[in-house]
Amino acid sequence: MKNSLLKRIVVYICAVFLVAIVVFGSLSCIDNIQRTTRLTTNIAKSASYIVSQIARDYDIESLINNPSSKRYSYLQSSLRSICIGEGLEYIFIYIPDMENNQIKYVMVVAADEEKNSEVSVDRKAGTVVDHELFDAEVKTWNSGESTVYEYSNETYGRFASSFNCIYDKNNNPVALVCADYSLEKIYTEIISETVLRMSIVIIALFALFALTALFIKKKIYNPITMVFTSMKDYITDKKVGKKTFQPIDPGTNDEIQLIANFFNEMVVDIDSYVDKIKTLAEEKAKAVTELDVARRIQYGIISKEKNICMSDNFMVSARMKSAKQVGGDFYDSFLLKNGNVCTVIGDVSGKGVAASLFMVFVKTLIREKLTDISDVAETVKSINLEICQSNPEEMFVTAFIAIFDRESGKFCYVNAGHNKPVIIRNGKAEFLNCPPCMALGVFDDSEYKQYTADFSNGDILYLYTDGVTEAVNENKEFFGEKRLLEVCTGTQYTAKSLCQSISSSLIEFINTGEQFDDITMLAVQRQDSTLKLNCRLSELGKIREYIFSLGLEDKLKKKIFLACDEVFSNIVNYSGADLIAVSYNKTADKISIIFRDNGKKFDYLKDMPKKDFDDFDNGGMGIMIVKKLCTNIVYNYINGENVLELVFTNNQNN
Amino acid sequence: MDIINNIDGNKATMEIIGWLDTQTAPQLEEALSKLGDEITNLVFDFAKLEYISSAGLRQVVSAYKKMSGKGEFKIINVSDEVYDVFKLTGFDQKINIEK
Repeated sequence: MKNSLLKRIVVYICAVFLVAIVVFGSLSCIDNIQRTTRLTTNIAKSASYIVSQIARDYDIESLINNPSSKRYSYLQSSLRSICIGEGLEYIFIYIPDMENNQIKYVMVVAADEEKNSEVSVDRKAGTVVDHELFDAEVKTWNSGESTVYEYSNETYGRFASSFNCIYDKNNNPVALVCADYSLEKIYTEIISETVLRMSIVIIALFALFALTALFIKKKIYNPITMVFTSMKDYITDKKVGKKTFQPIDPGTNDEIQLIANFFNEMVVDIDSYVDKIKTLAEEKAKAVTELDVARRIQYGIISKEKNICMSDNFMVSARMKSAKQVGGDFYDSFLLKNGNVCTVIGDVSGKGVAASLFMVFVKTLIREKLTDISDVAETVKSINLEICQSNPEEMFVTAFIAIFDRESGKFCYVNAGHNKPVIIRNGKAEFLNCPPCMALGVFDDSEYKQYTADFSNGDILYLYTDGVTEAVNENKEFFGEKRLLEVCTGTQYTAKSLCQSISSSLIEFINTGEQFDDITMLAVQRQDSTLKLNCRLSELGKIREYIFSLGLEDKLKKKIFLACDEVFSNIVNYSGADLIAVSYNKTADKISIIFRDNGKKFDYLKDMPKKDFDDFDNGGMGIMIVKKLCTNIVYNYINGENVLELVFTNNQNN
Repeated sequence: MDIINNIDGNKATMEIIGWLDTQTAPQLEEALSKLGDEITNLVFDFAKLEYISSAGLRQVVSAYKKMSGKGEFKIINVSDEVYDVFKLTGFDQKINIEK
């Protein structure tokens, strides 16, 4: 702290008192001097006048001539009495000689004993000395008027002298009386008296001031110091997170007490606010982390983009672009018995963690319950019932469930309050006829109806959530069903390219607008590329045709066929299967041939014994050839089927 | 698949034309079993063989075994493609194969 309040108060009061004392002392000193001078002058005047009157009864000449006479002594002692009584320094009686500028002393007395003896010798009666007569003396002598003259004498100091004239009986001036008053003595007295008086005043004032300062220190400064020290400590503690604050009580019961009380209240308020803010911040951070985790879990459950060959007949492609918050959109696609495929798309009411949790519950439930194509409506009804029974938050979910039958080339579906999907047949897009039933989780007695539709080779069923049709651009327009149908129209689509095309149309449409809702979509396309064979060697020709129709280079064709020949004959000879399905998957650099058979489980890669050349006539070469021809062989046993995938490098140079 | 069997004394030359696969291999098996014991020199002419699978290779092994210790067995006029299959299985190490 640069300036202490107490120090400043002390300095101010000191300065004010000092100035006041100096001014007041000087003024009173000057005034005293003036008044005393006036008074002394008057005393000198009256003294000289009295002396002149007394001396009237004396014959001056005889006094000079008889200084040892009784009369002389009498006058002398009278004069001295007056001198002492009036506080005069000297009284002179003398005869001025105007022409010669001389005076002749008649009588001189001094108040001081020593000086009196001195002058009575030095200036005894009849002594003549040179003396330049003052104007005042001349004036008194000539006019008889009493005069006063102030002068300084190097020997005797400053004097105020009063002159009066002594007249004889005929009123002729005979001598002058001079009463000397020592101004210097008076001044010294006045000053010393003033100084003494002032000293007393100063001491008194300082005592008063010291008391005041003590009072200020005790009653104002100390309490304020206590309050601000407390405040300072509170701030310091606050910074390091300590909580040592004790309520301040200066005990003054005045404004400072009020400040302290208010501060005490403020501290309580601040502490509680800070605690609240801290708790809020912690909760928020926790919530953000939880949301983040929820989002990651959600993405884990529903991968963002998916292109799956679900079975040899159906290609499924799906994608999801979530809005900022964790949403409740979901899709699912899974294999049922007999290679049938089930696809689900759904939208849970609301957003956030709750919607997300509910979504996971519903998704899991559907997957668990839907195991077969028979009576989908009844299954959905039981799913609905189960959701209703475990739904305290009364959330609901719209869903579209479709099951694709591999054998019949149809699909059956149940629409639980969801958007109408788009069906694309021969390049023509239209909304699927599907009167919606009640959303899941609303009423536990809702009835569901299932419909069946044709699903020929190349047909695409496009499922989506309202995030697609209700995507909003910067002009607040919806993407809408019309635009959706326009984009869907065309023969060129595969499930994957349709999803890509709609996604890019949406991105273009939304442009600078904000995405409010999750955008989720799923497309299923029937792709009949499966060769179905009886388990007989005579069917080998069909495999050859099938492989030769794949549009591959001659050498590769033969290589693939050789491997297929070996696998096929193995299946026919050893598996005991009655049906064999062959399908393929082709990409830019790879081609794979997939064999499915319902024979006994047989892992070609593990279960084949190694043989020597000499035993080759009993078989065993086949798998060796296959292994050497393929870049990769994948074997799985799924749903009672051996699934063997032979992977070849699709390279013109091989 | 066709098989043209030329027998000249104790030397038999079998010309195999077309695809020798699982389906057609039994034909070759039958033809081999009909060969008389007097044959000590057996030649497979693969000039017109387009394709061979393990079933065909098995017949090749049969023929090889039939001649072993008794006479000579060789394959002639093997195309690159078919030769590749022999190479895959290591037959080229064991059997006299001429391109």
